[in-house]
Order: sequence, then structure tokens, then C-alpha cells
Amino acid sequence: MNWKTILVHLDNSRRCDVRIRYALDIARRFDAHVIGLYLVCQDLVHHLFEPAEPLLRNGYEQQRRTSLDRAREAFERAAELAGINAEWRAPAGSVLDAATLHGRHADVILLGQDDPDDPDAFVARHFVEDVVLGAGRPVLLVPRTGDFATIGENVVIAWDDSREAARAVADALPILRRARFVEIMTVERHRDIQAPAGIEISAYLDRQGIRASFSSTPRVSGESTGMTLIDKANRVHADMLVAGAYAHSRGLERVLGGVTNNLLQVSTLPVLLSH
Amino acid sequence: MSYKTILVHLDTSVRAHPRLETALQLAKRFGAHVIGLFAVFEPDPRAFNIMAGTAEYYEQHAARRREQRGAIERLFHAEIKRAGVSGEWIETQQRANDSIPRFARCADLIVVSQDDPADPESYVGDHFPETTILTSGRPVLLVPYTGFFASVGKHPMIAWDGSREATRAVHDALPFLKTAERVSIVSVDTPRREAGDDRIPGADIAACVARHGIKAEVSSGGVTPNASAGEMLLSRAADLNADLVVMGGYGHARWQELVLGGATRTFLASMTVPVLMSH
Repeated sequence: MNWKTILVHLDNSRRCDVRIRYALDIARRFDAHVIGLYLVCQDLVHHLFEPAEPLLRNGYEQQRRTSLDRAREAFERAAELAGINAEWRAPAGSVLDAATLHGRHADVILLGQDDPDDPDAFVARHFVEDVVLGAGRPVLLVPRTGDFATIGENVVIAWDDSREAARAVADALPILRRARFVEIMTVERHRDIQAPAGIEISAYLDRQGIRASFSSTPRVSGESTGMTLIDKANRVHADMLVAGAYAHSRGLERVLGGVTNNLLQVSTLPVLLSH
Repeated sequence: MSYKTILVHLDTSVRAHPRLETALQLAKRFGAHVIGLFAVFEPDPRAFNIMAGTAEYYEQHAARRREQRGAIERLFHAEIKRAGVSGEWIETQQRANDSIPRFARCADLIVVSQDDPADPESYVGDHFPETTILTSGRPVLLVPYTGFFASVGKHPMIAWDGSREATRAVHDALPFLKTAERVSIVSVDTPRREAGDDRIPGADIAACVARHGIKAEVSSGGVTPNASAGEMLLSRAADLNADLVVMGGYGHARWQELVLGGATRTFLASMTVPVLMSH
């Protein structure tokens, strides 16, 4: 199945342009419909911590309207130039509820990575995590740095035999089918396992018409598995990483697995995450 | 993308053969490879060592099991040859609840049976269908324990309630929807839906599947106070004459116990048509 509806999160951050371009490039490839979902931080208190922010409500509303218009104009112009069927949405209400609801009606969701240097990139606490866990659709995370000339030509799959990894692979099939190189990477937890990990998933991909190589890396003590994966993926010049997103729900708070958290925070290449 | 690897669970129950038939029929339609995974419940031999005379009984029992396993293996190979699809036979020594999810993760569709309370041979583990749905990460096609299904997925009915699991199920069922003759979406209105929301329930998901080239009819379920969502969906499936129900499978793994959602439980207990569930 191809991706036919691509949802991209829009805001006023400096990385929004890159995200729009990335979404439009994917849309062109799949002949898909793009939905731009404009969601910004609605927390008034958050702005109090920025000294340059005027506290006047009217001025604040005015500013919001101008930034919304600016974002809308940028998105619509980019879509028109690319010749892609695009749709603008700016729902009111809770940002997380809106992202999840609209995300469930899309095939893939494009979000931006957290950017500590750009206050405009902040939407809500644990926004990316909550969308990944709640939407039921894959999230493609666009890093806060770098420009992406190619999309999904050289894909690395982080495989560990888990439910989430299986989900991620199935969700990434449209990208994998068009990829030139696919590598299944496993970080070994125990050295005593005999059969090479990834051999079964490789057979599975083969039946889907995808040729994939597989390799396994021993775990280095002192280095996190997430960093090992990013490192290896960069070394083979991968332009996308496919991984499962883990979480343990502890009360109301969601606690993410270590590798997932690592990928969310420090990845320098686009990551497709599924739960 | 379509289903290219179908995993079917086989055991010594009377429903193993109809289940294999369903899997082969789907394999032919989608050009898929069939994996027959043989997993049954085996009593722990150590459990008998305190009772005198049980060793002999256990030996007989094991011999009968071997015979039955040989018979189903021969049947599997004969049937895949007759159907003209490629297939493989896998046997594990592990318990079914542990082995099925592991193999299921490398398949596109898993075919298992509904629990049959009348057939002791169909017991392979505690909460077997539930565990498979919640831990395999793939769509699970549950075949009811009564009836014969000549065609599955000619007219699927989607039970839509806007949840994460329903989203998963719809996307996992796309190969079925694409080859279907007619697709119906029945939206279940949850009471927590806020007022003032004038969207037609189910219209958004219809637009989403329409972009995949699937035409679907949308109707509202209309939950009545004295019937649960599960019962409403069962009767709608019968009214529409659907031959497949696509729905999300809810559940929380709370330590070892599995807690399922209401509609999911209703379907697992009293389904009349094959059900595709995703979590």
C-alpha cells in the first residue's frame, strides 16, 4: 500500500520549511495528498518565561494571527510550486488531541524533532512521544539540523524481534519498496544466540519484493544502543532509520524506552517510528 | 503492498483443517506464502512424577500426539500442493503463547481460531487469541469455530470508533479492502464525543481510504442504551451480510492478566463471521 495521505505538522519554527519540502517530496513520489496541520504552543504561561514577549493579550492574539497567516501562506505557496494537492488545517483545542485525531486519518505523520534553540518549535511537553504512541500511525521525525537531498534511498532498519519493530517495518513498506539499499541492523544483547538475528525478517522482506542485507553489532558497554544505531546508520550514509517506539505507561505519564528516547533527541537522520 | 506471508496456526483440533482452508484461499488471492505453525498444549511431563502409573499414560498420550501431528503435517503439505501455493511447516517446542508472536512478527497476516469451549483439543494456552492480537503487532484473522466460509473479505465491514486500534486495523486491512467488492464503514458513536462537533462520524476515514482507491459506504451505528457496541456491531454485520469484520482489538496487559475492551470481548466470544483485529 502506498502512502496516500501525508500529514505534516506546521508551526513558525525555522525548520518548518524543511519539513514542508520533505513532505512535498514524499507526496510527489507517492502521488499523495498533503495535509498541513498548524499547531503551536497554546500555553500562555510558557511565554511568560520569555522576557521579550509582550504580556498584552491583544497584542498576543494579533501576533498569533499574523504568524498563522504567514505559515499558511508559506505552506500554500510551497505546495502550489510543487504542484501537490494540499490542504490547510488549523484546528482549535488541545494540540495533542488535534494531532492524534488528524493523524489517525493519515497514512504517515511528519513531525519535527525537539529543538532547544528555537522556542517556536515547542508545541507541548512530550508532543512527539505522545503522537507516536497515540496515533496508531507511523511518525516520520525530521531532525533539527541538516538538509535532505534524498529520501529513503538507503534505509536502515533497527531490528530486535519486538512487536514495535515489526510494526515499524510493516509501516515502512512503501518506503522500503522504493529504496535502493535496505539494511537490517541488530544490536546484540546476548552473545550466545546462535542464529543471526534478522534472517527471518529478511526472508519476509524478500517475499514483499525487497532485498535487504543484515548485520549485527555487538553491544559496546558504556555506549547506548541508540547511539550505536545512529552511528552505524551514518557510517553507511543512510538517509532514513526505521525503528519501533517503546513505552511503558506508568500512571498517566508515559515512559519511553532508552533507545527510543535517544533516537528522538539526538538523531541526525530522519527516523520512522511506530508503536 | 499486499499480504505476502500468511501464518496459520495449526493444532490437533477439528477446526485446524477449515482454518488451513481459509488461509490457503487467501494465499491464492494475494499470491502469498503460507507458514503453517504447529503449536499445541503439551502438559509438562514433570507434573506427573508424583502420581504412580501416569508415566505409561503420558507415553500413550505422547504417541497419539505424534500421530496426530504427523497427520496434520501430511494434510498441510497435500493441501498446499493442491492449492498451488508455496508454504513451509514450522514446529516449535515452545508454548504456543510464546512461539506464535515471535513468528507472527515476520508475517503479514495471522490466521487463528476463535476459542471453542466444546473442543478440549483447541486449547493451546491461556487467552491464546487475545495474546496473539496484543503481542504480535500484526493483524490477526480470527476464524469462528462454527460454519464454513467460502469467501472472506468480499464485503468487509469496518467498525470505526476513531481510536488508535481502529486506525491500525483499517490500515492493516487495506489489501482486503482493495480487493473487496463492497466496503461498509459503521461508526460507533462514543458518548464522550463532545457536543457541537458537526462532523459526520466516519467521513474522515472514508476520505482516507478513498485516497487508496477504495469506495466505502458510511453509516452510523447508533448505540441504543440497552445494547452494547459489540452486540450492535454483530447485528449490523449480519444485516449488511458482511463476510469480514475489521476492528481494533483493545487490551491492557496488566501483569499476566489480559484485560480486553467490551466490544473486543463480545466478538471473541460470539463472532459469526471472520474478524480481523489489530492492536
